[in-house]
Amino acid sequence: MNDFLQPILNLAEPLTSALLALLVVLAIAWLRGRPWTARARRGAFVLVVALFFAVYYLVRGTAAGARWLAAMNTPFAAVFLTVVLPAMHLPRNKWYRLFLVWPVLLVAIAVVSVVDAYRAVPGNARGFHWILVRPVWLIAGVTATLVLIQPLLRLATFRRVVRGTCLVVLVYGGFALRQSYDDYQAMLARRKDAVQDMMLLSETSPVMQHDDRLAYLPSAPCRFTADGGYVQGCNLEMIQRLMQVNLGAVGRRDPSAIGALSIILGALVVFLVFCFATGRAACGWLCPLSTLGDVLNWFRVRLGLPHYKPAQPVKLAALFSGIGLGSIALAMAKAYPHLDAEGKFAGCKIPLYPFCKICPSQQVCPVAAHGVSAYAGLPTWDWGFGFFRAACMALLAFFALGFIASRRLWCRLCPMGMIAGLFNRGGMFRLAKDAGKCNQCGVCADVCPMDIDMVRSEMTDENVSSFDCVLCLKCVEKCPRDECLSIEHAGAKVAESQYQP
Amino acid sequence: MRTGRFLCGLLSLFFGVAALAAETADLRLLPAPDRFFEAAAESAPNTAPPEGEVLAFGLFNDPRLSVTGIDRIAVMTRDGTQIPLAVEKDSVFYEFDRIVSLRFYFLVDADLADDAEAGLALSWGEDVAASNSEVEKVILDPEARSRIRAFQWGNADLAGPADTQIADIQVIADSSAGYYFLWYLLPMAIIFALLTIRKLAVRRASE
Repeated sequence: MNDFLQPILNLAEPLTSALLALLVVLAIAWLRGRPWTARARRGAFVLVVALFFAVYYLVRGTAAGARWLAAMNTPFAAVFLTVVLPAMHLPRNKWYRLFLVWPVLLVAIAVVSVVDAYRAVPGNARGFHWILVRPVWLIAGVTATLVLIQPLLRLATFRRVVRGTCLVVLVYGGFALRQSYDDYQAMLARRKDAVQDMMLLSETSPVMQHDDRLAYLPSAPCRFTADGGYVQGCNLEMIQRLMQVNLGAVGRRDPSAIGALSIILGALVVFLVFCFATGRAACGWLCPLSTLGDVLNWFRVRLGLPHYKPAQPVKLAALFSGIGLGSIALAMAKAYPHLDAEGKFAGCKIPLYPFCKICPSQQVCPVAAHGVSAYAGLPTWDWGFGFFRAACMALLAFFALGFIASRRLWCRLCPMGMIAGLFNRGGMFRLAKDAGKCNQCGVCADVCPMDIDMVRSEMTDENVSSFDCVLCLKCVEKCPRDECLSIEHAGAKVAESQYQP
Repeated sequence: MRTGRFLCGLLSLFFGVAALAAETADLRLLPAPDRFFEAAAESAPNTAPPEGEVLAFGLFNDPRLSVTGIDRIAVMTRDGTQIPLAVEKDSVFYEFDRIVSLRFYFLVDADLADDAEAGLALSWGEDVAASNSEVEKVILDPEARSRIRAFQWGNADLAGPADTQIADIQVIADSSAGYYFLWYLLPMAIIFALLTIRKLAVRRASE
């Protein structure tokens, strides 16, 4: 089937470009502000996309241009452009019903792709329980399914379904959803030495690590999850890689250093485009670490424990702790090109990915995926100083406490979310409030997992987006005043408060 | 009506632009270097040209090479006849789903191989359609050395040994490759500029 679809996929390759995703959201936002007729807007939109396709084909015609473009291509962009954006922006009329044919088709293609991959497995090797599916079809099929079921569910239920699905794909996908039978066999070979698979980054292989591209999400899908996880990892893994690049070798124009730098920069562009297009929504909807943390929060609620609302100094302390820890770890990653034969820098042994050694995700995600036997183990004291072991234990305790005693206290410290948070004001999502309809009842502040009070207290500015907001939309969902709170994307209203007791 | 014509024009533009991606280089045949036959010392040879024909073998890694499949590369004679290629399966090297290096051989008449004006040409690109095949590891037969050649493409200096020419080409043709990574800074700069502008606009609206 892949051979049959390949010519179509080649022609549609510009759709996988993160640059097109950026252009399209900007075009939508710009066109919404024009006093033009709907027809003129549609024409201008088609023209913009057409010009991008033409320029893309022209640049792709040169080898260097083709590689430059390819590093910024990702199946996430194609799914975002053809499934997520129309689902958010199309008015719910006959055109939306017509659009739904596309997700149905994508689900069908994903199913056929799975069957096709399974049929290619040698007869005597069938009978395993893993699903073989190429990442592009898995992402398309899963997203299309979510778009199809969304009208049938309440917002709270839909959010749980999305988070559960992302947890399964990002934490369990490394060993449950391999992209081909060869990939599955390679995974089995790696699993013969589970300790090696967990601990040695160079030996793990995320499902989406192929053809030199790296796929990162602005959340915490840990790279150390069993079998390497589904995507390459979180944005801190990417920035650590960037820090590890030997700039001296780049200056000497060493092809391997330049190749590594190009691949990371390509992934960074994709990451920034998605931060710009979605802000911190990944924290509220995708991040497996916060989903696992919310399970702890669920226990707190069931046990009847009161939740602690951190005061402003505590919030600031968490923020600066996160910035400080992230900076120290990134500075250590910079030592990588200068390690001696024993892996030491200035007499101290430094791990390959210093931040990963102190991140709770490296402890939590593997256990969630493979049970206690997959526990990664704390760093030992032989690092030369106890920073990693002590920091890891402290942050693990803070993570558990952050969700048991409070709600998402951890997410204030998380450096992954901080980067995406920069795009909350100025990015494409905007949490808007009609102050004329607000009675400052405080429900929005009560349900907010980040304990943001600004949505309640702000009565002059229509834009109530803030750095901390994870765009979970609980405030919009629970607001008792119809059309008081709304979430907008590129100028279009995606959801608004409609009180449901 | 006007909209239809406009869209037709745009579609023509797409496909016209997409069809422009093709490259061509002259092809010359040189005496086979010793390294072609080193593998025969360890394994039994499995490749030799039939009588009356010459086998041309080599690694093709032109910096401009970037194609989606082995059928996007063709060797043509002066009169436009296409010569099928046998591509060594394990030598095909991909970067971002595109072939950037591969080793192959093809057979030509002995007369044609010895003719300096034969006009053999190598074409590659997305509008090239060939019927090439894949073969396992090629182990050339030293006994047929007189009928085996190394192919060379482009304007490389023919004075030196063939090994050196093949190894040198990427460096000569892609001298600015060391700066390509800077291109990624352009979209990043655009994103941060947009973010700054939009943040300022939000701040102005709030005041």
